[in-house]
Amino acid sequence: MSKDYKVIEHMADIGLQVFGETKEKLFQNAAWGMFSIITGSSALYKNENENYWTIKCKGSNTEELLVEWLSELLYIHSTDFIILNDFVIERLTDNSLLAKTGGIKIKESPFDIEKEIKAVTYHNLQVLKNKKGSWEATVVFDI
Amino acid sequence: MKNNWGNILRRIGSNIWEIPKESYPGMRVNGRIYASVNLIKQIMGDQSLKQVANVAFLPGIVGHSLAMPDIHWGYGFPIGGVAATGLENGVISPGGVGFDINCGVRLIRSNLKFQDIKDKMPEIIEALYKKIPSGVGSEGIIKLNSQELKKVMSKGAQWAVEKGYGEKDDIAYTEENGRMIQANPDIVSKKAIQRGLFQLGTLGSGNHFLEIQLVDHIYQPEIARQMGLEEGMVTILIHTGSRGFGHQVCTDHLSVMQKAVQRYNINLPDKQLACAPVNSPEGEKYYQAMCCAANFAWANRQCIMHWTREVFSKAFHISSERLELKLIYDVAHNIAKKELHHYNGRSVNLCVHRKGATRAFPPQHPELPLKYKDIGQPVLIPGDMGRFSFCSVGTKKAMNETFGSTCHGAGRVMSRGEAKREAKNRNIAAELKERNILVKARSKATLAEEMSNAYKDVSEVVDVMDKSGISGKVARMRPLGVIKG
Repeated sequence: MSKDYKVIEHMADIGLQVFGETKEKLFQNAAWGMFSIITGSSALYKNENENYWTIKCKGSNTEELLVEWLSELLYIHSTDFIILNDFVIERLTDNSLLAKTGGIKIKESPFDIEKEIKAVTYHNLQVLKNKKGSWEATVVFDI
Repeated sequence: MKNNWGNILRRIGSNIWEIPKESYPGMRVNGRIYASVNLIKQIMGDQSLKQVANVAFLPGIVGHSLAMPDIHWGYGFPIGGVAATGLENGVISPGGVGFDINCGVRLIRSNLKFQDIKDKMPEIIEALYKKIPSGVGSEGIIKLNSQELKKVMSKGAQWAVEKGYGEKDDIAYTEENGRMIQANPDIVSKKAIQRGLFQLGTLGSGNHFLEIQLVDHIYQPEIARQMGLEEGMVTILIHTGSRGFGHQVCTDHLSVMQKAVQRYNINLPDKQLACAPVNSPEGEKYYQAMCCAANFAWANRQCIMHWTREVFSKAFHISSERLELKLIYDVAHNIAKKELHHYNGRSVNLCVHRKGATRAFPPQHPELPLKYKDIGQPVLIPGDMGRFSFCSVGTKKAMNETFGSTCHGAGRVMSRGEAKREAKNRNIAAELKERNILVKARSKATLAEEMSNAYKDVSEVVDVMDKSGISGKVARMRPLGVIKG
């Protein structure tokens, strides 16, 4: 699975530039990127997860949908104390998303939590399809 | 595109700069920045001035889009930004408050001197670190059910005092008496409630801290005396906010506001500025939910202060009353408030957004407790962990020029990544120890990101506001020991 993203620096916050051959992959990679910031490691491995959640989100466009998706993941992470490492996009339209996500309890994870992401922002938010036909996104987090 | 700020900015006073509204089509008012020549040079290095200009697009903005000298690049609003909008024709923007709703500071005095505490510092720092949950996702000692959490949302610091986490007097010395009465827990989402259940009484991570300090300089002895501050006194500063509860409230409403922007046909240069008319259903609901988060934050700082008193009491084997651990004041620096101001010769009700800015009300303001009526509101400005913090007072000039607002801290000059690279081969804790500052942090990364030179010199920031007559310096404190997440 490609985990195509780049962490970008922002004075008080942190952001991601994300790439994906398809929109589904873009959403997946954005999730990988966010949890790589949280754990400080890009090597989040997928093992036999016992914990799975179904996520349904709506948004008036792809950009809003990306924020909703990442915010949902952040919510699960912070209330169930989970490092999410598996992101299965089942259905993605221009304004709705159905996905499954799984992960391991923070206590059982080999990773420390290096950074608390407070929230996903709309600042400089961008999702676009480039000339080659693949997808790119920029998203900034409040930390 | 890099802006040529040298050509755009107009200097209109020794420490005041303006971005004329003609600079960007869509600005409704001028931008106004309080900064020294040295600070404005630093400020020009990031995108915060463009953000000052962006805020000036908000419908109903009154006066100026203001920025304090600690301004730095945020998301949407700059951090260190102030914007007042009309209640009748203006908007409210969750981005003008930020995710950490009512992030703020409280200052506690004592009757201890350096000689009393110096040998006990390691023990006290260790005990505070154990007692007060800190770090990422820290869970509190207080476990709430959703009914009880709703009481926290309604009553704020008053809930904490009723539960035994503090003294009655503490309430009078908290901004808004630690409770915004417009809070409406019934509109807060289940998600926010879920995040709030385990986080009351936690410090969190990032730039949040609890610091033991020594008052090392007094600028206005009479005002300091009335506040109960004197040179050589040990003080405690607590900096935290509404934790995951507030973050979720903001997230929930930002999403609503994205739709509101379309519904009310509002044109904005940055989606993070999303807003709705103050008196619209979206605006009202956000304000009521924001008040819930603000109240949560006041309860949070109140509980942490209570445990701090317990730790000191145990360390010195006497009661906290005998140590005279009294609250000087508690201020919010990420908040929106509906306030009465005099503008253009008449009284107007305004929604004042302070994002990384502190309220600085003048003497005789009705919001002040009796004790501070003649001197003005204490303003608490924390610096970085290696330098100073300040206590100032609000002035009449602040009411006239900045809607009763001033700076809130040092302001970053390095991104967290830069700071980490800079600190790579350094031992920040050991460097601070050499300077007699004990630091205990959950994460080494936090120490690197929060090191002194990642921030502006807070003294320079505070001086600008002092010289501009917005908030007058009263006392300077230097750190003795810090706990961080």
